[in-house]
Parts: sequence; C-alpha cells; structure tokens
Amino acid sequence: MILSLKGIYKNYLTGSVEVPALKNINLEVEEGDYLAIMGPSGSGKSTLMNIIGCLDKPTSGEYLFDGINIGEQKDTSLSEIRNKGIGFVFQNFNLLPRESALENVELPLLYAKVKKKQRREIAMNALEKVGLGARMDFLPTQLSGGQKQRVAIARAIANRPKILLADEPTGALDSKSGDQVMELFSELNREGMTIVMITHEKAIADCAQKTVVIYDGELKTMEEFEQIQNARRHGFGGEHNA
Amino acid sequence: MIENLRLSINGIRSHRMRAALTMLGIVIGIASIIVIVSIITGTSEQLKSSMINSGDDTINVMLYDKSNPWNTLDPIEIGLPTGIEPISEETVERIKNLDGVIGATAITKSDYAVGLSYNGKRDSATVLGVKKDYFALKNYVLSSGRYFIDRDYEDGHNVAVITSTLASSMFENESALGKTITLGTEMYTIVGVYSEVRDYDSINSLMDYQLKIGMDSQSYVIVPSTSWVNFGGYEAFQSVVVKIASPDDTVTVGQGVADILNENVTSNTYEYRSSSLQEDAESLESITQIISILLIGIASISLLVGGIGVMNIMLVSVTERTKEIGLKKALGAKRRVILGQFLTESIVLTSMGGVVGVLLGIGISYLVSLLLGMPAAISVPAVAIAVGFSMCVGIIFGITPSIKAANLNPIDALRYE
Ligand SMILES: Nc1ncnc2c1ncn2[C@@H]1O[C@H](COP(=O)(O)OP(=O)(O)OP(=O)(O)O)[C@@H](O)[C@H]1O
Ligand SMILES: [Mg+2]
Repeated sequence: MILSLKGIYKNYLTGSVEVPALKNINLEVEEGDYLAIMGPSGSGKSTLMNIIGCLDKPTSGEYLFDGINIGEQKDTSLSEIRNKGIGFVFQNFNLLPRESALENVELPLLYAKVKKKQRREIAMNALEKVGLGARMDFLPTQLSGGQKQRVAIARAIANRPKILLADEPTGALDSKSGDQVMELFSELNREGMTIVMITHEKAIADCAQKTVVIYDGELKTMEEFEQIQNARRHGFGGEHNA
Repeated sequence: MIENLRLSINGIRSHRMRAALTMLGIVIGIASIIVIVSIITGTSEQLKSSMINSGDDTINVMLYDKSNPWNTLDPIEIGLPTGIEPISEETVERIKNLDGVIGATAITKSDYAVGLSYNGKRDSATVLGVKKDYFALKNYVLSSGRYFIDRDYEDGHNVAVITSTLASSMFENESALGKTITLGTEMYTIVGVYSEVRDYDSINSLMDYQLKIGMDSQSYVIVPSTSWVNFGGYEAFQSVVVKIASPDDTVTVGQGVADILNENVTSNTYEYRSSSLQEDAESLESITQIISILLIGIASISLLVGGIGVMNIMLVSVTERTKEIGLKKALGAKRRVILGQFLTESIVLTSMGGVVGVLLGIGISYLVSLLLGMPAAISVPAVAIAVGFSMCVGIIFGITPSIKAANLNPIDALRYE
C-alpha cells in the first residue's frame, strides 16, 4: 500500500471561521494504481492533492505514505519524502523560466545530492523518455505548452518516485497536447508507476483505471456521484419540463 | 554551493540594471575607503622612507613653557629663569648611560641671532653653543673648513661654523672661511661651512612641506660653548641632543631623558620635553589617522546605505520569486537550501560591488596621485578587508530576506500569482 488516508479532515481558517474543505476522507492507493480524482471547482481537489503531496498537513486523521506517518514528520523529512517519493505535475507546468529543460529536470536530482555527471545522465534519459531528447537546451519560453508539460513530467519521474501526483495536467493544454500527455501517463503506468491525477474532465479521467469524486469535501464513488447528480437533475429537470 | 553561485549569477544577469544600481552603494563605499587608505598609506610610507634616508636619529630635549606646548624657552637677553640650572656634565653622563642612547651632548640654543651682520648687512639665524662632540652626533656634511678643535675651547676663541644656507645668504659667491661676522656685540671668525643631509624632495605632502620649511632652509651659526656667554650673556647649557639607537625608541628615550633633566628643575613655568623629527612626523601622522578614521566612518555610512539597498532588493526578489521558491520546496529543497541560495545571491551581489569598488578605488587613487601629486600606495590588507567587509554586508543584510524565503509555506508559495 502506497497511500493510506483514514478519516482525513481539513479545515481552513478564514477570518475567525473554520471552513471545512475536506470531510472524513478515506482513500487507499496500491502500487501500480492509476487513480483519477474528479470533482467540481472548489470541491477540495487541490486541497487533497496538497495533503497527499505532503505539502500540507491534515487538520485531523491519519495519512500513511509508504508506511510512514506523515503527521509525525518534521519539515526536513517531509522535504525528503517529496523529493524522493513524489513526482509533481502541475496544471501550469511550473518550470524555472531562466533554466534550460535539462536543468529543470536536474533540479530534484540536485536536491537528492546526485553527483553532477550522473544527474545529467538521468535527466537526459528522462527527457528522452518524454520525447524531448532533441530539446534539452531549450528554455521554457522556447517550448510549446505540451512540450513544457512533458519537461515537467520528465522532472517528476527523474528521481524514480513512488507516485506521480498530477493536478489538472491537461488543464492548460489543447486536446492534442493533452492526449500526448495522457498517452505518456498510460505508458508510465504500464511500466509500474503509481499515478494519482486530478481532473474535472470526464474524458481525461477515463484514461485512469479508477475514478473517485470529491463532492463538497467528501469522497464519493463514481456511482454515488452520478446518483447525486441525477437527483439534482430531476429536481431541476422537472421545472424545465413543466 | 557551485550550483548556488551559478543560480546567483544567472539571477543577477537577468536583472543587470537592478543589480548594478543595488551594488552602487557598496561600490561607492568600498571605493572611497580604498582611496582614503591608499593615500594615507602612500603618504606615511614615503614619509617614513625619507625619514630613514635623512639619517636624523637625534632627539632634542628642550625647555618648554608648561602653559604653551609649542613654546620653547629662549633665554637670550633675559638669561636663564629662576629654577633652571645649566645642565651639568654628570647629568649628561647619566643620560649617556640610558638604554637605547648612543650618545648625548648638552647644547644651548637661541632662535634669535641678535646683531648678526657682515659688513653692516644684517641677517637672521639660529645660534647654537656646542661642545666638541656635538658634530659627532649629527650627520652634517662639512663643505669647507673645519669643525671646532680643543684649542678653540681652551683659548675661548670667538670662532663659528655656519650652514651653507647662511653662507650663501651672507657672502653670496664669496668664500665664507676667514670672514668675521658680528654676533651680539662680539666678532666671530668663520672656520667652517656645513650642510645638513636631508632630502625631502620625494615627499609631496603637507608634512613634507612643513619639514622642509622647518628644517632645510634654516640658517645656523654654531659657536663653541665656551664663547657662548660672550654672545648670549648667560651660561650654557639648557638643552640636550641625544642620538638614539632606533627610531622606534624615540618616545621612550625622549621621556627618560626629560625625566632626568626635570629632576633639577624647580621652576613651575618650564619643564623639559623631547622633540624629534620622528615625533613631529608621528604626531602629524596621528592627525591624518584621525582624519582618515573620520573619512572611513563616512564611507561606512555609504556602505550601510548600500547594505540597506541590498536588503530591499533581496526582499523584492524573494516576493517576486515566491512561486519559484514554492516549486523548489515541492521538489524537495530543504529550508537551508533555499536559505543558502538567497544568501549566496546577496553575498555575490555585495562582493561584486566590493570588487568593482576596489578596482574603482585603485583607479581613483592613481588618478589622484597623478593629478594632485599625492603619493598613493595600494594596501593589500585594506583591499582584502574591503572585499571581506562587503561580503559581511551581504550576509548581514541578506540574512533577513533569506530567512523569509526559507520559511515560505510551499502551498501558499505555489498558489501565489
Ligand atoms: N488557503 C486557503 N484558505 C482558505 N480557504 C481555502 C484555502 N485553500 C482552499 N480553500 C477553500 O477550500 C475549498 C477547496 O479548495 P480547492 O482549491 O481544494 O478546490 P479545487 O477542487 O481544487 O477547485 P478547482 O477545481 O477550482 O481548482 C474552497 O472552498 C477554497 O475556497
Ligand atoms: Mg484546484
């Protein structure tokens, strides 16, 4: 078991009022899983991703990453877990603008204290893997959106993480580039990479083996979510038909 | 570390104009410190070297007015004041036995050569009454004639030795030897002409000027102590000339000699104090040092202002790069990695300012020495300290922004637009 979330709650303090963003989340992800998390805007997807990515701690509940209780970890060990255990892919790529594609991919290896020569080699392999072997020295501004996202994926997999965590990886891409990214994800998953991907597009979620939905801070199965939607559609639909 | 340096240089390169303006304060501060130190060092080095060349290793211990530190006692026409006895032979012997003393002799001196004239033409000079061994202590060069011999003392002859400066003033192109001059009411026959070996031409400073005016161009008439009373009307001696082993001992030996001489002084108005070329130079040097400390203080304010500028820009830079910091943290950069990156950037920024400042300072120093004729010597420790200091400014003013960067919360930072 790579991820195990039990009774996770997350409240945000806005002013003096505590606003719940996640309510009693229970989720398990096995090695090799490819999970899509869907949900309407503001439902808490990014909040959940931050917790899974060890960027934020839950208000309550227990989160085990690869058997490690994240709630008990100090800042430095969280850095190490993020560095070696998790590969992040963001909606807006988040590449360093002044660094070349290769240097961007080398970044997590640098923090893992990999020697320069080896770092270069691993980064080059990762870029070749995402089909950008010929554009290693390009700056992000010289790359298309799809290419940028593939550099970001190369960066995410460079340290051979336990899990690839993607927040709307196709959100800023046209459909063709989006498809390329999805193909890459599927290929990585076939090779054994565990992937958790957040999206609000059904077509993208369909690439995953399994889909769950967050609705108003609560985790639902696809079926439960469809029932809720149907119920709502009935309510509104009746008025429409009348 | 190397990676941090590369990142810093990249960062600075991408904001050339901003970096240059930020560095300006540091550049100006460091450059002015280098200029000040170079000129001070240059002047005092040249002063020291010419001092060594001058061969002046004697100190004069004279009577000074207690109420006026610059006023020496000149007893001409009034005689020795009460409470002051002529210096005895035993006292001189005691002085000779002091540590660091090579030789000593008692003299008597007046700055007013009353009635000095030749063929009715008046002139002015300082008159000294000396014992025979006086000339052995001084590095004089005899240009013609002789110094005093035993018979001059035994017979009480009215003979005199004069400086070449005075000789050319009194006799122009004629030989001075054998000429008879009037001093006081007496006639003195010139038996020798000498000059002082002093070469200050290489100095180009205020001090040099004063030393030149004060020493070189002076006219001296030296008479045997036995015939002094004929001119001065009072008995020798009231001063001592001491030859010292090392210029470093100037102050201590001078004090020791003055202490011995003051034992016999019962006057409340006068006391013995030492004076020497070195001491004068040292006091002048200490004045310049005070000035230089003041100037460096002002330059430091410019460094401080420069440092605040660096801090300000670093804070802006942290805010601008919030997203980058968040990303780096997400990718596993630890707090101290971020801290190191920003601190390096700040240190690189101020060190570059320091190096540019040093180069500019060296350039200006040479320019000043060329245009104003002031000597400049680049002091290597000053350069090292200046660069080190600018690095410290980078640390001191970079630490707050760096800590701010290191403590950013990755999610807040990633979300930042
Ligand atoms: N730092 C924060 N402080 C206060 N409230 C927050 C904070 N971050 C998120 N929230 C709130 O938590 C809820 C969930 O936000 P979240 O960003 O997880 O939504 P999301 O599902 O990712 O939405 P989207 O699809 O628009 O990205 C929202 O109501 C949001 O306003
Ligand atoms: Mg979101």
